[in-house]
Amino acid sequence: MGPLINAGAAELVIANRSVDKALSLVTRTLRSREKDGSRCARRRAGHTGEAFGLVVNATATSLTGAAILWAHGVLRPGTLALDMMYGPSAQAFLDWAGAHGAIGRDGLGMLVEQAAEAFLFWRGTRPETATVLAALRQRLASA
Amino acid sequence: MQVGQRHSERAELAQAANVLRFDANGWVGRQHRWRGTDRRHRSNAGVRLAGLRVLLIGAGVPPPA
Repeated sequence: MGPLINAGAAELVIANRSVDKALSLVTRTLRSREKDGSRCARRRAGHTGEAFGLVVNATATSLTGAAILWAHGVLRPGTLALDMMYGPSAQAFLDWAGAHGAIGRDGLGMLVEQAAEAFLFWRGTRPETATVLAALRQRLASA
Repeated sequence: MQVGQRHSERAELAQAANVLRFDANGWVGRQHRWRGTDRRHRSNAGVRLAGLRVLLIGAGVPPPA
């Protein structure tokens, strides 16, 4: 949550089956951000307002093949819809997003970027990521 | 989290570390899952996170991407 807030998100809505788990995450985050004016409000499911600019699927639905139960009203043309999985696992979410005008992206870019961050942490040098990402995409396409 | 003797703020918040480094003071754990994500979004889709409404579906720490 912190990096999303730091990046300047106007509003961050968390949807989760377990309310307690979501509240725990929000409480921990707000506790660490007491001075920046972040606020928290609880809403009923389905009352999330207008469509979002970014929708992130951080559930395990991609691994289990479970149906996407979220209303497509959360998407609008141009919404960035990100599944944290990649390859065939992410395809159902990406298809759902694309069918409703969103820009679907899988988690491969995130995987590469966090690996680059780890390399920076270990070695003090940030590796170039574009060629790595392209090579991985090619390998996945030919698998 | 049990291995690391010190953790970054993000690792503490997520209750998970996905990078460990051993230095003179022992193991340090950090959480890098979202680092660089804004840059990746901008380069991939021309999307900047600033000013966007964001919906995060799922509050747990999912398996590695």
